Amino acid sequence: MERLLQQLRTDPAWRDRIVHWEVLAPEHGRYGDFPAAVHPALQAALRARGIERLYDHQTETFEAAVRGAGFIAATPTASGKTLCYNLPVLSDILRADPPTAALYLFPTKALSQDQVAELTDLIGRLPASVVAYTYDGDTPPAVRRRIRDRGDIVVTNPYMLHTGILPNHPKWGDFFRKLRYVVIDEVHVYRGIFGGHMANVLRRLGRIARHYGQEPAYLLASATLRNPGELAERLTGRPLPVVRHGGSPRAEKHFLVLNPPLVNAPAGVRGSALEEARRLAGLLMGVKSIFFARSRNRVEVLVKYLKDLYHRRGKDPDRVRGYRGGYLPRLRRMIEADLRAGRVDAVVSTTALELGVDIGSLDAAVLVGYPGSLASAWQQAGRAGRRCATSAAFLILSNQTLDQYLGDHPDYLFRTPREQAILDADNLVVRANHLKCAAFELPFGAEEAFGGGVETRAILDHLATESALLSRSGDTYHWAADAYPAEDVSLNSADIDNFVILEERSGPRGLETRVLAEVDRPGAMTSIYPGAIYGHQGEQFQIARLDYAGRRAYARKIDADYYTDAELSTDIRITRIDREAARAGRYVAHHGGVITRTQAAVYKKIKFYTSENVGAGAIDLPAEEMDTTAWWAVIPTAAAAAAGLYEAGGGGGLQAMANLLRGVAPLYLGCDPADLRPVAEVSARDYQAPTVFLYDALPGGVGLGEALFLGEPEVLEAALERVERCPCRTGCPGCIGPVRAGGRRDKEVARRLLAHMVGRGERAPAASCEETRAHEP
Amino acid sequence: MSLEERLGRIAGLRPAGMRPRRPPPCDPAAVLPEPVSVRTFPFEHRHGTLPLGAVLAADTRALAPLAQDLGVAEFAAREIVFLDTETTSLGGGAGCLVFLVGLGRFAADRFVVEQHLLVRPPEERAFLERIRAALADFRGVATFFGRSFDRPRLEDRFAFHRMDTRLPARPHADLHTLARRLWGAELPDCRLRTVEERILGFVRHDDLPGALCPEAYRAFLEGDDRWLAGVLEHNRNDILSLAVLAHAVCLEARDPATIRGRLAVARGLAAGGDPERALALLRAAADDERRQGGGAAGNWPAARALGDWLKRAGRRAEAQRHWQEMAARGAGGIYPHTELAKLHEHHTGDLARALEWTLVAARLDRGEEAAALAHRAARLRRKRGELPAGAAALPGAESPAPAPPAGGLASRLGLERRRGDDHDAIAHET
Repeated sequence: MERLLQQLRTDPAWRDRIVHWEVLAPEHGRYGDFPAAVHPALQAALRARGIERLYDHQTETFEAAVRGAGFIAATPTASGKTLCYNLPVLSDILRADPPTAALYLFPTKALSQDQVAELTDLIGRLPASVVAYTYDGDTPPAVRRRIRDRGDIVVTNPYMLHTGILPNHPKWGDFFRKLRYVVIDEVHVYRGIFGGHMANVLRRLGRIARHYGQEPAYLLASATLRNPGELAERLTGRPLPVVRHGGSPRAEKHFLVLNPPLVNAPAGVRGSALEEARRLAGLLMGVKSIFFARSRNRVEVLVKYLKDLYHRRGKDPDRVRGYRGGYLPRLRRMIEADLRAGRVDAVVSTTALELGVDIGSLDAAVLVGYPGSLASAWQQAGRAGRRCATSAAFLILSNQTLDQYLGDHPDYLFRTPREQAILDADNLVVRANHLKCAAFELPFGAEEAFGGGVETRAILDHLATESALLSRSGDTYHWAADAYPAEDVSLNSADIDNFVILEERSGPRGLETRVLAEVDRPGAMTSIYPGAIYGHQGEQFQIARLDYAGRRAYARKIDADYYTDAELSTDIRITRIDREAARAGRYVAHHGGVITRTQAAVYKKIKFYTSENVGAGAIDLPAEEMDTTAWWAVIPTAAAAAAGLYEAGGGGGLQAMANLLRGVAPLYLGCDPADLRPVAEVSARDYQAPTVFLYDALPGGVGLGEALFLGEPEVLEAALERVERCPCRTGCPGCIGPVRAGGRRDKEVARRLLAHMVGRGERAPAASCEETRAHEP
Repeated sequence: MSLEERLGRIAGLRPAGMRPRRPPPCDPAAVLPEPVSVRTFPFEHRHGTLPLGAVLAADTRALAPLAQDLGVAEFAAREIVFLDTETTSLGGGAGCLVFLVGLGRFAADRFVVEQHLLVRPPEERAFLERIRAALADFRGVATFFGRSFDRPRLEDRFAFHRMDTRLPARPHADLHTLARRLWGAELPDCRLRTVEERILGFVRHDDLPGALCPEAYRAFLEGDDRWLAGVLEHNRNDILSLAVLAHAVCLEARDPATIRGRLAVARGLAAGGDPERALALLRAAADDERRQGGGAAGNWPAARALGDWLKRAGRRAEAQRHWQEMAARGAGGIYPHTELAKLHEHHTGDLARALEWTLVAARLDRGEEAAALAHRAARLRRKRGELPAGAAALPGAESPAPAPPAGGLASRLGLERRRGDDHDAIAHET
């Protein structure tokens, strides 16, 4: 690793690419003795594993837990977070006074299994038997009963809690009667709509625990965040002590930000991040490394690149593996095992591996493109260097606006307090659906509350009269319908149906099919339309046909030198205005409800390596409709005309501005760029004036529109700065997005529109301008 | 948009399948029926072809061999309670209430059906306690499909109220399981409706289908009790059917008439200490099966069971004859050939015969057993000295096998018409 860093430092070709080099100095640990309250048998078991002392933060969390207060530990990767909760849980189970059980929640099945493996190892060293099991969709029915009746620690995921455990709580009575701890790890993933769902699932859990006479303490662990206390309170509904500082040691670590060189300065075209990742992989050969790509498609492209590279250098291409959602569980388990056993040198992953799946120690992490949030970036970078040796993380900036903004301001990565995680536990759609599930689980009293926002009672009455699901009897609402509501409520989106991709191939017995992978329904539109190239483990498959009603896609292996990319078009309709404000007469800002209708009409074929466009095809799939929230701004036509919007024809400048805003907004909102989508209408139906929308890409919305409404000045300034600093002449993906044909003035128009909006327009338009101020606060 | 409109837009809050119905403007108290309704039936009352009184004569001991694995003990009909529940949902879970429990029992001179209704959901605990008290008077409980339905639903409700979850009356005879063991092959399905019509001779008229009971109860809770009588009658008929079905099951178990029934009873007898009666039943079943050309599915279950019985009893000569007959008849796939190969390898020591049967089996096999047969063939060849001791068990690495003796078993069985020589057949299959 040292040699590799030396080469990066001296080789001029590499030196020019490095926009920032941060050295994170090693840190020494701060330790203390075991608190006396830790059960002696557990102390002995830990000593047998070589743990003689605790980090300071582990002592602090132990004391908060046994006090019954709970905690949220927001400490860096590899700081012994697991022990923060295992210590009090195991200690109290051993003490058995009162009898204690714990529920562990991990966002994925893989993490649950990992955790049980670790627990089992520790439990094996204890004199008394402690029963810890995973309970998920893969648990055989024969074992389930044993887990319910005898489990001390039940490790599961939010989906199983939501559809399997809570609706069947009478079967879990023995467990709930001693449920004193609820452990939630990887808390930072519960953002956005998923976070809103999770908060409501926990409200339901709380009701049921109270039914059985328990008020469990919440033990939370998270990556470092700006607002862990607020997140914890929004999730669990109660304030939790925050434990921040890490007492854990860390070896020296290097963090490099690389920007691919400009290959065409006037056009602002930089080398592709994928291509840059391939160059870096050549340098990293033999170093255990992980590559993070932003989408499934890019994972597959990079896997192919790396396998080709290994092949050319005479190394086994099998030492490169892909890992992402959509792979079937068995394949994922196999890849994880190969990683731990060192049979793999380079793994290419989406965010799936960003979470704490145990894959052993790695020396380098390569982030191909900024992952969208600081928490993700640090989580991914933290994948390298768990052991006490120098490690390195590389962020390769892509052509995207957000990435290029970071290229201008690499300090943002290191000096900004970690961003906030937004979740709205009172999103009406989410809360009403969970209220329905909660009423199935336990009758509601007329005065009982369920979170905030709209009155619980109003929703209950709706469920009783309009939905015909509840029956009111005196002061209680009882479930009274032949249905199992949790099955109809998906925690990630409005949809629960997945498409299965089947591979067809001719075998000795004719045409054979096997299940290749899965895709969720909205994903179908962009990945499995007939003609699409679907990458899987570095191999290409072409979708031959799609059975939309049957949720099946049939694919055949193909040796293609291109991949496909779908183009979406979105139509937007305003359903509700929550707030509006005339910003000094320059434009009018809003946030409220919208319905979007998205359709994929065409796809492009893009050649590997050269990225040239080598063809196109039509997509014939039903449109997806979504009820969500948005921020939008209406610009007076006179101002737009002054900015030159109409001169260029087509109004591409407005779309360019929308793209810019979408590009930089995630920095201020702490959301993933994929959570926010831009729409520009040169003459919006409702206003007959140019309007830009940024909407929540998740059904029901998570409040991004409102957050944007409040943080507007900063976002507009950042967008303006980005477009002004971008070296391209007429626009590039690093500022306004791909330049359309005939859009040579789009960049300039976008710049002038933004300048107008922040009050620095060259000529303030005369019309509808009551006051002129230098700067909107 | 108003709150009502916004709630109305949420897909998950729309009523599933049914129209939303506002409660009719009437006072629910006015239509409250009794929490417990009792109906009695004289012993002469016929439910289907049987009078109810006949059930008292049922020989429950006959059930023992059919149901011993289910933990069903013998008890007289008077000691049994016949139980059937109606629930607010068919899917289960914490929101699924048991709203009606029908209990049938024999009194001194009549049959009594007692139906407990959950009049208002908040009174559930008292309702459940009444049911527990009523069940405590009996030694056993009989249901139809109760192992998977009535019992877990009730247990869930007991658990919900933190009461003892076990049914007071145990053990539990699930007549659905017993009926399936006796008639499963003859009936298109084993639903209660089918069993009533085909076995008990009872046909329902104007029956409220069980699937509509949840909706009927919901209507009742909202003050519309027009459907409730239908639910009560539906449940009452279920109870009466249970009683006469118990008798029909005992009768059939004593002297089973179907192949499947005989096999089920014989299995219990063989394990439970009356092997000779088991043998008689197996022979009778195998005879029937021969006449029918292999049983309902054509896979000769009785012939196999008879062969297995003889083998386990150590009656090898009889077993050998039986298997040879089966093989000659082409009955039971490669089962008789495999059994004959084992017999010769392990008992008679005639390895040539053993190999011969194995090769014939391999040729008949459709691929399912290819690996096992190849393994056996290789082992036999090693034992016969045709292969070195360490040679691979898989035939791909083997020297060609000798052709089967001319005019040997294969030709006597008329099997030589099948193409390919033995070795190729095996090699191909693996």
